[in-house]
Amino acid sequence: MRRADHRRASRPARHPRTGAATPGGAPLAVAGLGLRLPGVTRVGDLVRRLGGPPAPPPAVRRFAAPGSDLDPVERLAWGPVEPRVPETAAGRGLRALPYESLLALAAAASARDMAAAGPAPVTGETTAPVDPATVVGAGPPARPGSDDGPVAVLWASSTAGLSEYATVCVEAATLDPGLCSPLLGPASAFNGPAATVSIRLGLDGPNETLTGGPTAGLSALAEAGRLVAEGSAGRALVGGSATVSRWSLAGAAGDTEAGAGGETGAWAADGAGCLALRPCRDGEPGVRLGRVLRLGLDPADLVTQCRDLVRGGSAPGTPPDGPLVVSTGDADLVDALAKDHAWPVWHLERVLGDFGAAGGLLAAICAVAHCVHTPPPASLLVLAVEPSGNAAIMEVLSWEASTLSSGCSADTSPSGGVSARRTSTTTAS
Amino acid sequence: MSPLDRDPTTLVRPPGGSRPDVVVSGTGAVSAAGLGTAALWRAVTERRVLTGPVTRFDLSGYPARRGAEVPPDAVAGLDALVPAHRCLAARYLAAAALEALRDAGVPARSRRHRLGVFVGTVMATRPLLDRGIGAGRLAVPAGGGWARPDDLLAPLRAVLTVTGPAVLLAPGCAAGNSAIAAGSRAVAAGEVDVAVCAGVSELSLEILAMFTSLRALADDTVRPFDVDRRGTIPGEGAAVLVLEPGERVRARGRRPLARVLACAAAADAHNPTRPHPDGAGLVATVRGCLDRAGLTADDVDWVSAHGTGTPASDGIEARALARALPGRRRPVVSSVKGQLGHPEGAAAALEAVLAVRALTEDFVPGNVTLRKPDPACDGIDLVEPAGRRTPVRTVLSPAFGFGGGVSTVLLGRCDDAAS
Repeated sequence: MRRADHRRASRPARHPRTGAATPGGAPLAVAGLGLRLPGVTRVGDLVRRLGGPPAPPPAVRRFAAPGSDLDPVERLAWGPVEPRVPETAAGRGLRALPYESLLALAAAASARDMAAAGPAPVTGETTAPVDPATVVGAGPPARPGSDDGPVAVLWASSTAGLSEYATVCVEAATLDPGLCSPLLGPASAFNGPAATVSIRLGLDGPNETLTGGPTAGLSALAEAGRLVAEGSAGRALVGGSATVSRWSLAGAAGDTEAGAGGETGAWAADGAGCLALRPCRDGEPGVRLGRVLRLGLDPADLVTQCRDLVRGGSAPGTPPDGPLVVSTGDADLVDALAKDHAWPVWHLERVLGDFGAAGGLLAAICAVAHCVHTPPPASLLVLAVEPSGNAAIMEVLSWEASTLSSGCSADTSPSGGVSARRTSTTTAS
Repeated sequence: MSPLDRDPTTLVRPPGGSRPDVVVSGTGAVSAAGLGTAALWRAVTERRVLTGPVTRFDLSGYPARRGAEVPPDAVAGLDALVPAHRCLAARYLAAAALEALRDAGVPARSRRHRLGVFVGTVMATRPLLDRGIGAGRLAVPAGGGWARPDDLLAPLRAVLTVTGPAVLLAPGCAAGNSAIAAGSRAVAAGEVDVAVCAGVSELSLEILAMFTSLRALADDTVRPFDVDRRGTIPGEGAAVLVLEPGERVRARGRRPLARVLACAAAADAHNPTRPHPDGAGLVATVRGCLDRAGLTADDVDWVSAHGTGTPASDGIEARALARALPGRRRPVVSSVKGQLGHPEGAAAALEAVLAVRALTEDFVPGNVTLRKPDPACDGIDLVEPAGRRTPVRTVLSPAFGFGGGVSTVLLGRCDDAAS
C-alpha cells in the first residue's frame, strides 16, 4: 500500500456548496458511528491505523467444524472482538444471539447512542450516560407520520448466519429428523444482524440486508439515501459486519495456510461498524455522504476503468483532490491506483482486514473517521470493486466550520488519539 | 462542484426532473410449473397444486416430506438456456432473466444501456453445503462456494451484460419485493435504464430441517387462511420483472405490461420468527403504498397475500389486511402458496409476475386449497378456489418473513398495457 505524506490529506479540497450531492437526493449527515473492530476502540485508533505504519499480522486462531469432515485449521485472522453491547441495548436473551448479531447490535447501539448523546465526547464507543428519551428509536416504535419518521436499518454481511446454516446441516446429518435446534434455523440466513438491530432497538423502519462482495456496503448507504429521500425513513442506521469461521474459510476462495487472502496481507476479520445517518440541510456544516456511483465495469480491464472512475471524480484538468479508500480483494488493483494518485490510497483489507460484503461500508467509515480527524473542509473518495466488475464509488466530505452537522468535531486527545466532540445542540432523535 | 457532479449517471435525478413512470416491460419465471411465465400462469389458473413428494433429497424419517420442486425435465431444460453451475438457484435466475429481457425486447448483451440487477435471496448459494448431508458426519462438498453469495450471479453475468449496479438483497422472505423496490428506485432516480429485478430460491434440505424442527411443515397441502391449515411447504424457483421508464418502453414501440405504483417497507421490530400480533409492519406498508400512489382501499382489486399456511401467520395477516384496507368492500384476498408452496426468496417475485398477469388478463387467482375459512378471515373476502374473472386495475402484494422485515409492492394496470 502506498502511504503518501499523511499531512497532505488535510489540505482543503474543493467542496460542493449545495446540499444536493448525496445518494438518492437526500443530504445525509453522519450523526454517529459505532465500531467493533479488532484493535480499534475509538475513532482515533482507526485514523492511526489508516495513516500509520502497517500493522503487524494478526494472531493465529484455530477454527474447527465439529461434526463435519473438515479438519481444524490454524489461520492468521483478525479478532475475535468483544461485543460490549451498550447498556442501552442490553436485555434478556443476549447470550442466545449469534456472535455476529451481537457485534452488529453493539455497533448499531453505539452509533445510535452517539447520535443522541448531546455534547458528550464521543470516541467510537459510548461512554456518556444517555437519556433514553433522546435515543434514536428508543421507546415505542415510531410509525410513519411521527415527527422524524421511522428509522431504517440497512446491513451488509456475507457471513451472517453461515455458521448457523452449517450447524443445521451438521445436525441434519448426525441427528434424527426434527432434532435440529429450533433456534439455529431462523438465525441461518443473512438477515440476522439487521433483524437483531431492529428488534432490540425497536426500529420499525425499512429493514434490509445486502450481501455479496464489498460493494454491498456502499450500496447499503446508497439505498439508505433513497429511502430517506422518498420519505420511507426519517433516519437510518447503516452497518456492516463479518465473522471468520471454519465454514467461511473453507467456502471462500483463496484459503491458504497463511489465512484467506494472507499472501496479500488482507487477512479475514471479525468486526462490525455502523453509521447513524440523518438528513442534513443546505449549508449545514458537518460530515456527510456525497454522491454514489454504482456500475458494472468490464472485468477484463479493471485497472484502467477504476483509474478513470477515480479521475472522473475530480474537476476537469485537475488530479483527484483527496485520499482514496479502497475495499477490494485485488491488492494489485490498489497498488496500480496508488501509482498515479497524488493522495494517500488506503486499502481497507490490508489496513483492517477482509470483511467481505461489509468492506465498502467500513471503507466509508474510515473516510468518515478521516473527516472527523481532519480540519474541514476535507473530502475523500471511497471505492469498492469486485472481481466481477461490480463497483461503487462514493464521496465523503466535511466542510467549512469546525462544528459538523453530525455534531462531531475533530479534537486531538492528550494521548495523541482523536476524539469527536458533539458541539451542536441538535439531536438526531 | 462535487467530484461526482459531472457524471450523468450518478444516483440523483437532476433538480426539476420529474419522477419517471416506472413500468414492467417483461417477466420471466422458473417455478414448480416448469420454465416460463406462461407455464406458471397456466398452472395457477388451471388450479393445479404443485407441491408433492420431494425427490431431490432423502427425506425418509422426516414427518413431512413434501416440497414444490422445479420438475426434473425443466431442470434438464436449463442446459439449453444457461451455463452449467453447481448452484441451481443461480441457473434458475439466469433463465428467468433471459426470458424477461426477451419479453421486454431488451438485448441481453449490450453496453449501450445502463442495466442493473437487483436480486432478492434468502440463502444465496448456501444450499451447496446441503449436498454433504447424509448418514454420519457432514461430508463437506469440495469447491466451496457456499460462502460466496455473489456466485449466485455468475450464470447471470455469463448471459447478460451488467453495466449498472448488481445488488443482492437478503432481508428474509420479503426478498423479491425488496429487489423490485430497489430496482424501481434505481429507475426512478435515473441510475439505470433497465432494472432486472428478481427473487430466487433453491429447495434446501437445511430449510426443510429447520421447518421440521419448528413444527411448521404441512404433511399434505398448504392451505392458506384455512381453519385447518397445518403449516407450509418449501418451494423453489426464480422470477424476474424488467423495470424501465415508461417512455423508454413506448419509444421502442412496445406497450408496458404494468406500472409500479408504489413500494413500501417496514419492520415489525418484534420477534425473530413470529410476526407482530397486530401485523404492525404489514399495516404500515399497505398504508404507505396507498398514500404514495394516492389510492384508497377500494381501489385495490386484489391482494396477493403472503399467506404461507402456517397457523401463526395467516390469521395475523388476514386481520391486518382488513384493518389496513377499510373500504366499502372487504379486501379481495388470495394466496398462491396453496399451489406453489413457499419458495422463500423467490416467493414475492413469483407473486409479482402473477400480479402482472392478473392485471393483463383481468383474472384473480383463487385460494385453490381453501376448504373452510378461518374465522380470523371474516374481515377479508377470500377468493373462491376457481378464481374470479373481473376487472383488475391494481394488485397489492405484501411479503414478510423471519426477522420481521416487511415489503409491499403495489402494481397497477397501464392505460396502454399490453394484453
